[in-house]
Amino acid sequence: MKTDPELKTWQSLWQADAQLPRDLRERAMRQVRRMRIMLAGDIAVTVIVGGGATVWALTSSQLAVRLLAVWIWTTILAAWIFRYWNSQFNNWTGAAPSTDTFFETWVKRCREIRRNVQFGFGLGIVQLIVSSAWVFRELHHGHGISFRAFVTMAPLDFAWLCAGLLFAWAFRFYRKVTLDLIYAQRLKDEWVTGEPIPVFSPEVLSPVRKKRLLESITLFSERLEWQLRRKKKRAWKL
Amino acid sequence: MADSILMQGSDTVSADAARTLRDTLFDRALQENGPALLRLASAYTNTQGDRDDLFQEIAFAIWQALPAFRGDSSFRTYLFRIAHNRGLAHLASRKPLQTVDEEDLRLHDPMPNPERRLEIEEQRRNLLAAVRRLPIVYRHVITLALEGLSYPEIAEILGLTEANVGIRLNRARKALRKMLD
Repeated sequence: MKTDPELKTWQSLWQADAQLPRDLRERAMRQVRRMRIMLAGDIAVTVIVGGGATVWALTSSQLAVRLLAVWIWTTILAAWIFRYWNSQFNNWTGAAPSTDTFFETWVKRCREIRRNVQFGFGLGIVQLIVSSAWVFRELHHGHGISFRAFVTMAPLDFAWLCAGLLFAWAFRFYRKVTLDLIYAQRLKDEWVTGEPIPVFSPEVLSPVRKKRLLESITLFSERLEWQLRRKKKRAWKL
Repeated sequence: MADSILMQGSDTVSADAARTLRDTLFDRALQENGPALLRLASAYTNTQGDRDDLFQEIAFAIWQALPAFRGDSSFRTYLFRIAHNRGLAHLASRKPLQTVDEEDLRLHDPMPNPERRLEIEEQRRNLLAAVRRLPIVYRHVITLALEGLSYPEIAEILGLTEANVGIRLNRARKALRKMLD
């Protein structure tokens, strides 16, 4: 590369800050250690939940408990199989050989995460229904508790509340990933053409355009909500 | 040197040794290229907190990608590629770069002459602010050029042709000059 005085001056200015704060390096090292532990988290959940269900089923003489253990193992296996299948579409690596490839893997990764969230959401709902039905059956047969008393039980309400919060978080996360996906696709277009897209690039987005963009997003989400409400009403009528 | 060590680590040595080797290499990557990676992170963020977060993300991505390194490119270009990709992904989840945190523009090197230091700080602040205002397609190229990387190295990192790098760099410099003037 030809060096010229202007570039040299900029380079010396740019590289003037030549120190990495010590705490930052230590933080990075700590994060690596933490992630090592987290990688074992999924296996730990499988061992604890699956193992716990197995031990309970082996020590109990009730058929219902054994069926519950079978159900738990079925969902765990379903989750692992789906995860394995879904991961085949994602070859995410921070070190993609080119920026083009990185965009492609980024898009694929976003899609993979979206599928994971969708699957997790569905599995969570099924799990909630089946678990609630199982607990009701146990309480109804064992203690003669009515459905109304069951529904108003504080521990159950608390569990449903937690599940609701988890679903809300999953929905929020899903929306974030969707926005990431849109961003990655647009950025890819920008990269391929080599020209910034004025309407999209956040750096060159004027306040008026930004306002319009936000308004259209709000309008779109409101319309979507309205359509969902209408669908729900129709379903209730039927 | 790093290349050959890593290749040995992934091919012949035991899992424990490979793990130690990975940690050693990771440590060395941060030691030797940490400041450059931090500067690069500051081009994609607008506050010190954000910059530190991105640096951590980059560091973690490097740690994850180390076993995949086969020495096809130099270790330095490999690290820069990871850092740039993480920078792009980071942009997606952040607000537009509009405000600038003064703290992260301050030089960490104590210089003997305070007046000279202030002058350089001021110039560097302007340069960084201008780089941050550049569209991503140009910012990518200029940050690598500012790190002193050659055309072939930049082309290798970004997966572009050298001619394309030249065109983008010229445009970036023109825009940068305009902003600094």
